[in-house]
Amino acid sequence: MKLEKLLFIFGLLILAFQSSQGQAFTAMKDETTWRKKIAENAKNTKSLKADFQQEKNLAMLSEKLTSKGSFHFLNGKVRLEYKTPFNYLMIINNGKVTMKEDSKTTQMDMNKNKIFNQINKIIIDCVQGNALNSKDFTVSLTENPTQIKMEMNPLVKGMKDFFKNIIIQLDKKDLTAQKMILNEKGGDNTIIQFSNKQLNASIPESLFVVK
Amino acid sequence: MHPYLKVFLWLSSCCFFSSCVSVKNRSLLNVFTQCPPVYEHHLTDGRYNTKIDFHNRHFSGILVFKNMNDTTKRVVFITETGFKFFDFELTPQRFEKVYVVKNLDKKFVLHVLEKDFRMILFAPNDKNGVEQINDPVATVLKFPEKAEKFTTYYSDKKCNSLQRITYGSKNKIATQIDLEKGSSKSFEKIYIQHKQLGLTMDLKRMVDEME
Repeated sequence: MKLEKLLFIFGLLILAFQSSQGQAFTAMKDETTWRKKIAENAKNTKSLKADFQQEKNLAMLSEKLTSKGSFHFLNGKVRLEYKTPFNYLMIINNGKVTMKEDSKTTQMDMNKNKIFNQINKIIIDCVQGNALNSKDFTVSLTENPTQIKMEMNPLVKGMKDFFKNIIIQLDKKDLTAQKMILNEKGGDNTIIQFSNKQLNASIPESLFVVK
Repeated sequence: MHPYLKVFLWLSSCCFFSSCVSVKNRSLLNVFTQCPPVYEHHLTDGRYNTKIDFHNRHFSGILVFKNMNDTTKRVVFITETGFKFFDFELTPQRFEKVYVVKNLDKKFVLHVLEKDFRMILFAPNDKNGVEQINDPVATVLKFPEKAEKFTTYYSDKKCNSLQRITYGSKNKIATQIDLEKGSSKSFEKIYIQHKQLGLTMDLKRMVDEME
């Protein structure tokens, strides 16, 4: 009896460990079907709102900077609002990037900044699930029972200078991004996790205008 | 004049001037030992909300200062969205750019940033020729540098904390750094002005950090 109890407890510990680590990703069994589903989902995603937590890891310094905020997407417009530990707002609307921290507002024309343009395109492609069709990256897919992992390796020079790769983990239930990992060449990375996601919820246009 | 009188006058003036020098050195030695804020490590590890204004351009982000060991410091600047602008490593004798974004990778820009960070992070290590300036409200120590420039340190009269550092020539201050200490050992606020360049950097220590 004693041995059975020990084995049972041991088994529970193994399960607990596995679930805390996340399940491993393996080669996709039906990649064509999933690619179609992702593309279909992309067409149907008009808006998305979510909370996010961003973690910036500076590897050499063993430093982790964590921030939280809210994310809104509507018809190609993006609003990224950081609420803790600082207030910072970034809105991408109609080819312009507007940034506001405290009372100071700065605006930049995205067309004059290639890198910004490329990063914006990644965000929108990821949100809408168009990343698979991106000409700026090679994209490989793997899966586990609940998620799809997209690994994007940059092809374009500007992006290659900044990123080693970008990994996006999609929830199989609604094919929205759960996690985005931007891996830099020097070993640093930025991890963004999304929660409380609402797909195609009503979002006022006024959110994409800086007041 | 009688020859003995000449010798006497000559010997007297030698004694007079040498005693002046020794009195000056004695008073400086007293100041060195009694005004520690000028000579202590100025900054411990810390993260600072940073606003940079250069002519009409405004940038913001987080400056991370990290002690790697007793002599080596790292300074990293990232935007709120996690984009790294620069990563420098400094020792009292060496400056290394671990990473710097292309637009900032200019000799002049790096020189300005190196000088600023060096003044904030490291105590003056060369006491030769240092002069104490009379001031009614502060203890002021002036250190000669190359090309007839000076770095001047201002502490309160009781030498409790370092309040200002300036760099420039005899008649013109090129850089002024104002420092404000809070309850912690580190500075709560640092304000750097480059008067001729039209560049300011406003740093506020981040207190509320999440894990």
